[in-house]
Amino acid sequence: MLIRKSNFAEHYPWVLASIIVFAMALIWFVFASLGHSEWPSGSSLPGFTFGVMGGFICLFEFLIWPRKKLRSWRIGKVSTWMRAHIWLGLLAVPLLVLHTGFRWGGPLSTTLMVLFLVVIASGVWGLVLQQFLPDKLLKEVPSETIFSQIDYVSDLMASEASRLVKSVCNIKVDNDDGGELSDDEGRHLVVGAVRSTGAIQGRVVVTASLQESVPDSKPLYDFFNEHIYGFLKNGEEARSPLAKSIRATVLFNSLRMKLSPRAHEVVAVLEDLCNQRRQMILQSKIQFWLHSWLWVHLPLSVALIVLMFVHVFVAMKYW
Amino acid sequence: MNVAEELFPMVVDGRVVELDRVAADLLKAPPVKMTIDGKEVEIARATLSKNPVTGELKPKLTTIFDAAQKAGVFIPILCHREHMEPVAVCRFCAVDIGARTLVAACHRPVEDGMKVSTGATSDKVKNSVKILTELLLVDNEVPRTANRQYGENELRGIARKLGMDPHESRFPKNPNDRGTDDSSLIISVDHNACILCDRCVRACNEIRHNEVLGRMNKGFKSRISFDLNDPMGHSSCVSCGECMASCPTGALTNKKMVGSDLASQPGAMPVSVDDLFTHELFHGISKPFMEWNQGSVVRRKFKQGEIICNEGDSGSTAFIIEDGVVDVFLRSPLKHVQNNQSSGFLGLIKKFTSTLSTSSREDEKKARYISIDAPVSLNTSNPIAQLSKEDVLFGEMTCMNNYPRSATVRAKTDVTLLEIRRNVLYILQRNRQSKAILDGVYNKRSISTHLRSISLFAEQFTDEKEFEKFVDLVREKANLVRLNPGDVLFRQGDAEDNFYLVRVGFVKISLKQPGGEHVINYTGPGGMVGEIALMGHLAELKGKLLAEGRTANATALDHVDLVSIRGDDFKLILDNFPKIREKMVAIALERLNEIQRQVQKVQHTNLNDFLRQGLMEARSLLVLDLEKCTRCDECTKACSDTHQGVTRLVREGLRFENFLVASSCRSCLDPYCMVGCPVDAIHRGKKREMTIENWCIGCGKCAQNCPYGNINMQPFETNEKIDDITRPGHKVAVVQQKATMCDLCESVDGQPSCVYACPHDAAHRMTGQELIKKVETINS
Repeated sequence: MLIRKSNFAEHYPWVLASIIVFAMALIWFVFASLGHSEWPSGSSLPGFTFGVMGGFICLFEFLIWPRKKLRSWRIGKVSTWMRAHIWLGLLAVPLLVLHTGFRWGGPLSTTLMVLFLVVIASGVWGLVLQQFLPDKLLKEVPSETIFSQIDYVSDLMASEASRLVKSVCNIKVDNDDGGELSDDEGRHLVVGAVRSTGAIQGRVVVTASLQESVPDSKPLYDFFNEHIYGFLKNGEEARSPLAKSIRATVLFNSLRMKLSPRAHEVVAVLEDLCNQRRQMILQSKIQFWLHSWLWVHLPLSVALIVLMFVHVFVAMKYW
Repeated sequence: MNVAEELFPMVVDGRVVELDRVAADLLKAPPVKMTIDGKEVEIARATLSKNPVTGELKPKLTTIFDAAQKAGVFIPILCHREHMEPVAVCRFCAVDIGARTLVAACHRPVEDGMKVSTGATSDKVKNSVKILTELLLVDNEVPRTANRQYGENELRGIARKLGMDPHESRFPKNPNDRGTDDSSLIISVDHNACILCDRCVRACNEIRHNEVLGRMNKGFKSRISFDLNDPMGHSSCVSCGECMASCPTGALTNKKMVGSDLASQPGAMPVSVDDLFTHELFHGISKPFMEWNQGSVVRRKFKQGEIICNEGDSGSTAFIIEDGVVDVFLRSPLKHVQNNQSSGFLGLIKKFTSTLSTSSREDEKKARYISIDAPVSLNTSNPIAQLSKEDVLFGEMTCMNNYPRSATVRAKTDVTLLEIRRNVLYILQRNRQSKAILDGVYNKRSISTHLRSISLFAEQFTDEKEFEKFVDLVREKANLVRLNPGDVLFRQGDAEDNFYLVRVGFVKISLKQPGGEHVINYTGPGGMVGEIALMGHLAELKGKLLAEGRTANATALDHVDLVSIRGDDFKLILDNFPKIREKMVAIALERLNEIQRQVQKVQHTNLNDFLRQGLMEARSLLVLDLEKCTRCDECTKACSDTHQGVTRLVREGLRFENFLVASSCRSCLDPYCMVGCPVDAIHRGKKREMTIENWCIGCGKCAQNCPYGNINMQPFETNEKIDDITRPGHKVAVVQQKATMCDLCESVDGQPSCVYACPHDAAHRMTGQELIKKVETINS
């Protein structure tokens, strides 16, 4: 969730409430420790209270998972839950540290605290990433598509580019049924393109006509088979030089030199497709960083809740 | 009666015919004796010739070519055909009769004692014909393309007969490209292959009397032309195919329909051309053309109760009823698909487990007529009608425009049908004879249901007699007009002439605006066009029109059939039927206000690109702030969870600065989704939002058309059950579908789930104007 000056007003009540609770807890803790040689333990009144508060906060933090899964339930907007999740989660850190009385305790409580700190750290890491990665996606990936559709879109780009190149290189173009294309169908193909007009930008559908063959276009066919097709279909896995923007520009320019000017339009379409494919690779990477922290955060949160109940049971039993 | 006009009866070929004196004298004259290449021939001076199409008999002077044929002497001909008037333009039939120059055998009448030498005996003639052949061959050396049907190339045939290689010539090729014309659906014109023999021109004018073909330009640029040099498809050509059948070089060729062989499909019985010509509908069509297109017509027989076609199915054929009666009806229930709403504690649980149910809006409960692709309309209170032989044809719109079938058709009795493809229907619609039959059927039988399907008329007449009176008046005044895709019906500012009712296809109504073309509406079957300009004289509309003449542009989007009523007749209708007048005025005022409002909005908005995306009118866009959005897709998943697993939005679309306008219905300025709905079930609502009517048949055409992917097909189970092929002995419910689009979760609780479920506060619903303000704030 983005936290900026511009939207801080939405977070402000939660921040204020967290600071007040933290301040009050700190004052109580300090007062409770006056005249004692040690900090109040978890079994002291303030320590126990902070433990209970921290425990409930952890439980509430955990509930955002089922809340997000029950999307059609009208029990508060998920964004409100998320704000509470962030600020109460951060509040839980001082509360539970105060609950420990600055001691690690036995193996169980030490494990629990380490787990808690890792969960908090992974959450903060995720929050930090959310502050700048969406912006990076916005600025550097104008041809962004839906992440789960990247493979499908890549296949489509590869097959349409293949049809385009075959038509220019005078290689028989077949339709889906294996029959030769007629005049009335399939004489065009669809290539996505990024367009911007004024303030608008985005991927749009662009149709290109299958061209009449261009003589001496074998270099195009060879280049397509050697570099482009694999790159469009498999991206980075193809280990193609086209994965690097500057190298791709050099290669496409040298390809143009070998071809008749009539084929340059097709080269431009292919270059644009490769550019889009490079952006999709970047999108995949950013998508990975935007969501991979959850693979740490979520399972450890589950473990934390389980251990927390064990800790409560053990603490109550042996109190 | 003077002497020249006096008629003489004569017996010719066992028939008594009456001829004028000159003709009679010619026919009675003694035969001539002559020699051709040394062979003696005795032949009549004139014979009676019969027009193969009209059957008209007239005397024809015997030519040298006729005599050579009788003598068995070969004289090549190219521009000439036995059933045509000779024009002697190609000079291939040149012969030597001992005169100063060679003469054309096809044109020169025989004379007594004439001595004729052909190319077989005269080098002079042979050289002349060879040079001519070579010169024409360089003009005819054009590539042949697939999907065209070519007859025999007579020019090359002659070259071979003369011992020449048809691909070799000493002369350079003509550098002038005379162009091609592919505007006709069935005939392709390659002017470069044309040798200007004029056979097509004479076939059109002398044989068929259509008077469409002629010549234009001079010298190297000469070519045949249609009407006043219109593209063939836009000319008054009736597509009889006679020109194509007459062309000796493949300059006019038959466009082969892809997959036209209907006969290979199950249940189809081939129909011979002779069999077809027993139908009156096919009488005016050229026989060679029908031979080329034999696979495009098949006969099908259906037993009582069998389904002929299902609503929503895709198709590309129409049906001619030969025998029997069919039921035309809608299978799909006239309901909407929506979520259950319940209240109370149990309702709380039920709401979360909502299932599909069906309902109708209040305004849909009164009986209306639904336009379908047949000569009848269906009443919403009992959507079933019958068609018989007298109705001739159904399925025109599917056939011409590839729209889904608009209704289910079932054989009421045993039925025999002719299934035809688009090329054949195209000809039937344009051919003078068949067009007259089809138009006659409309005028006699269909006009009444067509007028009923127009809610404006249907709602105004409570008295059936008055309605019949109205139908009679319209019937008397109506003309049928056909437009090809892209044809302009009228332009903004044009003088008003006619009022139009749309019968088949869609007409785009648009305004020319500073930001580009602005589509006001797509008017489909059951709609009307051009009424506002014709009502400018009425007191209620005085001063309200933006300008003189037409207030908008009207363009055919596809093959459109219109009922045209002349302006004066339209005014007469308004005068005779005050209720219609009143309603028309109200509609016109509403439309004019809307146009005025749009114009003002456009003038006050500088973001033309914004306009072009159809966002200005948007009532509730789903806008994602891409700086906040982590692409977790919770919005899409929430939509899907709320609507039984079918999402009504896709997190993709165009971006405006930081904002992505996700795909959910935006009530576009150019609502292309409306085009092609076979039952006219998608409309603008009162607030110009898109609304799907309850008679949606679930064909998916609107979903396919929506450029933003914002219309979804939602399946639901009907009461009909069929055998489950995966579990013998079990039945499963038939699943149908209806189109749905984002209703802002109005069917749930009015809170859009997409916004409610966004964890990052990135999803917002806002109007187009609010989005403009946000974009402008960022820019400033």
